Amino acid sequence: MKIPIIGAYSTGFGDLWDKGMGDLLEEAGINALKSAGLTAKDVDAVYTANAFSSKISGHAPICSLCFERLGISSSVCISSGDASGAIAIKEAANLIMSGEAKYVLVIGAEKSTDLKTNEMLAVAQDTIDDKEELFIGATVQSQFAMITRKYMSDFRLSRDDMSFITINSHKNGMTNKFAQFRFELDVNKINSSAFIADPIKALDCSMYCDGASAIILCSSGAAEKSKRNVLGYLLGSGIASMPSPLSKRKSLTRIDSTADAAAEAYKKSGISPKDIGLIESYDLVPVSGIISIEDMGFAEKGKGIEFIKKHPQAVNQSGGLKSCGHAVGATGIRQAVDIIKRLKKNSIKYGISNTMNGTGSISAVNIFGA
Amino acid sequence: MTGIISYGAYIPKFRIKSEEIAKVQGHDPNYILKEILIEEKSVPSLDEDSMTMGFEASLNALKRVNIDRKRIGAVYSGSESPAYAVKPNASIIGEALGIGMDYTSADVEFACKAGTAAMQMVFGLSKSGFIDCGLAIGSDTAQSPPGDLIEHTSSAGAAAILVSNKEEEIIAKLEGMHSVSSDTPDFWRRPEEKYPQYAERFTGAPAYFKHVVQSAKELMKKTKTSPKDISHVAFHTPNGKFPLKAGSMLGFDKSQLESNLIVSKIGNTYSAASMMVLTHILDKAKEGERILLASFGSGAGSDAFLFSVTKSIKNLNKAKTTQEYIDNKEYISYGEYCKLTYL
Repeated sequence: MKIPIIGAYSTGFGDLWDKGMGDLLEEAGINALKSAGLTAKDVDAVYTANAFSSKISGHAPICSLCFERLGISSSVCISSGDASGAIAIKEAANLIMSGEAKYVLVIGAEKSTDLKTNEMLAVAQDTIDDKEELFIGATVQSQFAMITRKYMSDFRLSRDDMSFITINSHKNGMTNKFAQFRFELDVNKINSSAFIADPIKALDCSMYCDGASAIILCSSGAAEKSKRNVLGYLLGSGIASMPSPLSKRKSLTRIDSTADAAAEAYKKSGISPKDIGLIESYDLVPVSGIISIEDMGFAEKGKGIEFIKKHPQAVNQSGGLKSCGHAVGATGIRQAVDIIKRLKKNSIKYGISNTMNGTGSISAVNIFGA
Repeated sequence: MTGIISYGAYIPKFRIKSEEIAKVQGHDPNYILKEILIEEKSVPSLDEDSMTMGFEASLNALKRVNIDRKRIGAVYSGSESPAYAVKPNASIIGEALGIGMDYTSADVEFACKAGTAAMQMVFGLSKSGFIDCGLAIGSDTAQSPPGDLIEHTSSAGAAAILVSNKEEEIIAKLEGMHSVSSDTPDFWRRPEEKYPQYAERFTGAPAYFKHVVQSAKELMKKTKTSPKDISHVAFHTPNGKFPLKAGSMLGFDKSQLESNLIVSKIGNTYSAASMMVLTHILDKAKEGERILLASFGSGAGSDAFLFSVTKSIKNLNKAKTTQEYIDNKEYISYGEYCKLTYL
């Protein structure tokens, strides 16, 4: 599998008060087309990714806006929670590989700040199981709090040890002008913030924000024929699921869906973890960022933090979800844009990204090459 | 010509400390003290509302000058917590002050800038010559949902200014006004709702700062003034941080913004807030000084005024100063606070 990526664009992430969903799609879509030297007429299909628009604004699916704002008629909307963007990339690649399309625009967007924090947090709980989790008052954050406790106890780590992933993401995000939070954090600052779900603190959590990201995939034939400037390649994709309720899992500290999705992506790309120099992990909270690294095969269980300490620049060089902000539907595509941009710039051959819905009920992994 | 001929303030004597609220609600008291600069707030007593406090502030304004009260041809009262939903505060205050019945009056509502909207109406009638003297009042007993961060700021107080077009009476001449308005849903309360709602961070950059900075900037442009020409600045004070930040965005230094920090001791008196800062400034202002006031009302808008202080300020009679009201206090527990605010 080797699908050329010829266009990429991300809006800045953050509190984008003066932009609505349509504006975000338009900005990301038009600029991605521009970077590819294409117009809307050249595009055979658009895959949009969005998690919560139906609950936030009542408008779903958002792909209908692509016709209004971009003039692209053939559009599909992927809504798989936090994994929406990464899954949309895989589906777009499948369309190209089937021969049905030459140019496909993949665009993810989320408009979170139309809701107040407590309302947005309630909406975001759509990503876990309604009967066994939501019904008893659990949240994504409280489930991750249990996972964090188990992880800390199994691998003899302190609360301060867990903070390293957040500190690292913030340090890396300082130089990313598209990131929402460009400031450094330290253990004291994290500890002095309020508890969200013990032991998870407010400054451990990534922020639901506004933003849109887009890439353009193209068939190898079309790229060669029209001599397109190829920014990078999609080399492998994997999607896998597991039960959302923690009670139905074999282990609390292993997310099988990530391991399965990564295995599929490695198989398709013919690449192994040792070839990869850039990793966008799913640092929604510290423990998810660490487990994401481990289950993609970069470190043994319990050694994720050591790996990040050894390779601080290789993990979440963009700033990750923590510093960039989490525009949920866009995040998987934002990771792709960041990886493609950074592979060439830093002469790195391969990069990998992971997003998972909720606490891992769906996980998606994409592998990119320069 | 028009301007202020007198002014008055009123602040209830009860105070509750941020630490006391934080203890009950599980908030971090350091955040309240250090980040939003609120130490304590005023709390109305059981028999105090926006009308009684508006009356007290107006009475202080009338104490400072010897004028025939019958000269007052307009009373406008701004509040988002009027004593009645239907029945004006303004006419009750007018009656209580004994100004007869030959005056126009109305209650004005525009969230926290209702008081300055009343000021504009009085200045307009005065400058055009339709009235001789006029009274503008801002007064509120602000409400807040228990447990919300605005519980630390929502307080009670009133301020009043007396306006005339007689040059010899004017203590602060109105040099110019500028207002900005827009449909910005940053803070609201629907009918029948007990507490207001607000849109968190949206109350900052796109609401308070955008409107306050714009109205002040445009007014300085209109009046050909710059921060160095101005001695004192009065902003709306939702907390201690916002007015200081707006001031630094406009190029004012800390000494020009000093009076805004009364908010740390009394909280946010809503419709009275920017007028309250003005009364604190006028208590110490000297001839020749210029004062810039820029209010903020959610919804959203800002009214900016530029005043120049005249020599007549020395001739005012004594009345209780705003600082005296701030210093006259009695601390209450959260339990007493619940009783006084009918929580």
